[in-house]
Amino acid sequence: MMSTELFDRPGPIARRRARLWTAAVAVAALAIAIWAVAKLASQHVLDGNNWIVLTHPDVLSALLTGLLATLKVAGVSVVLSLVLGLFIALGRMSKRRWLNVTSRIWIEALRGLPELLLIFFIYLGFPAVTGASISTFWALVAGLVLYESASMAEAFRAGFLALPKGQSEAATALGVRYIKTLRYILLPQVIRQILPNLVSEMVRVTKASSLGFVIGYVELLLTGEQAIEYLGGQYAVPIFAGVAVLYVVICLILSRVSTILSKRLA
Amino acid sequence: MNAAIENLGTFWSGFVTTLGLVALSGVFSFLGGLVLASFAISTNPLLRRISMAYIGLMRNIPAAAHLFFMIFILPLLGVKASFFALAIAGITVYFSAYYCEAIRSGINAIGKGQLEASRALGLKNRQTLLLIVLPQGLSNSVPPLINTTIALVKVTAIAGVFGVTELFGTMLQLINVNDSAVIALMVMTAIMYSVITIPAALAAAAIERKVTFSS
Repeated sequence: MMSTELFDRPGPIARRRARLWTAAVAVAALAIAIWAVAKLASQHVLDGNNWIVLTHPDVLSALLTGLLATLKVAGVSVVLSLVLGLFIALGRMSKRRWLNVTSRIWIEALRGLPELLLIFFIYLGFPAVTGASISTFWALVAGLVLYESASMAEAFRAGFLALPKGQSEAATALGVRYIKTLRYILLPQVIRQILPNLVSEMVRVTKASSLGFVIGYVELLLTGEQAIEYLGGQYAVPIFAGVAVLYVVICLILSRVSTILSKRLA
Repeated sequence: MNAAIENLGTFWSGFVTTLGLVALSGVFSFLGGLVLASFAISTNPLLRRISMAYIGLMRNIPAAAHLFFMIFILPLLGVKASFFALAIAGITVYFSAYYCEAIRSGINAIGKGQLEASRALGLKNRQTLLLIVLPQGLSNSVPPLINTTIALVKVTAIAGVFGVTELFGTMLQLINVNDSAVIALMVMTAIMYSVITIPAALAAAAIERKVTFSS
């Protein structure tokens, strides 16, 4: 991961010095850890009774339900932003000026706005304009899709630009129509290329779906908050730790998949 | 649009709070990132592990969860601080990991020849780091650092939900009292965020082009 060429391979003296520093750092880290544990213990955070709550079936099933809701939002958003992003990328590469300019504005404008604001645009704006109501699930998904469509479009465009020009030229020479060239020649290659990108997109969306917390879509973070409200403040840290661990595990699994995919496809 | 224009003064104070939030948490996160990056390239294996563990853990917890922990849970444990300060703490814990990645990407982009040359000239590790690696690494990482800062600007909006009256929090308060002007208020907020993020994104792209041309 890190460039190892940065320094010479350490000799005996450097190794001894490194060992010494490692020991010093370990002592310092240990001291900080002990201080933190003592501090937490003095607030009764570490009382075993509070942590047993995480093994309670109701809490566990609530957290897992929250996790499923998070994954549902993330999955739907990624698929939709993939489709929208593809169309915007095609628009961005189009020779028709109005299409090109519109998609460019779309990308630049949406990339500069907070996801939370886009979610609110849908959540409050959609009912205000149409008079119809929108569920928190779709408001969250639509906001995330708006935001992610811009970065998806850029990923697609990079994928298309990276293809050798001969691919589409050959298709034109053979008399294959644009749509078919796209469907059978270009897209399969582009998708292969941006697959790792897609998985890291999934990580981003999974984390961003925690914004559902704000509009009241019961995903993992809001489940945790509700559990804390219901059970009481002494369970705040254990439950938060459970929520955080679930996020970290899901995201690490997805990142690992992304690394494996990019190695496979390279 | 009237409601948005009448409340321009309120928006302005929210905008200034957002800028303060961005500046403070940006500087702290950059310093944190610098420390983490220096750990990551250190010859000391323990420091490298610490840096990697921190990044793996903190980057994968959503920003909203970081702010939730700082602003909801810490006060339950007896920590007393303003929402503003706690929001800065939460954003810093999260973004230090991203700034570290930005700095590292700049350092990794340094040509191998630079390091070989500095070794051939007999520079010590510390000299290589201070005279060769950091100056070039940091200037390489200007575009990713700007992009990370743009992401930080967008994340500060979440603080608005947790009681900090920055731009987004101001918008929520104004929407509460003028619910007929929802769209205008949201458009105004969007414009104010774009005023920060779009020029910054253009600058990052321009610098990136310049760097690729010159090298």
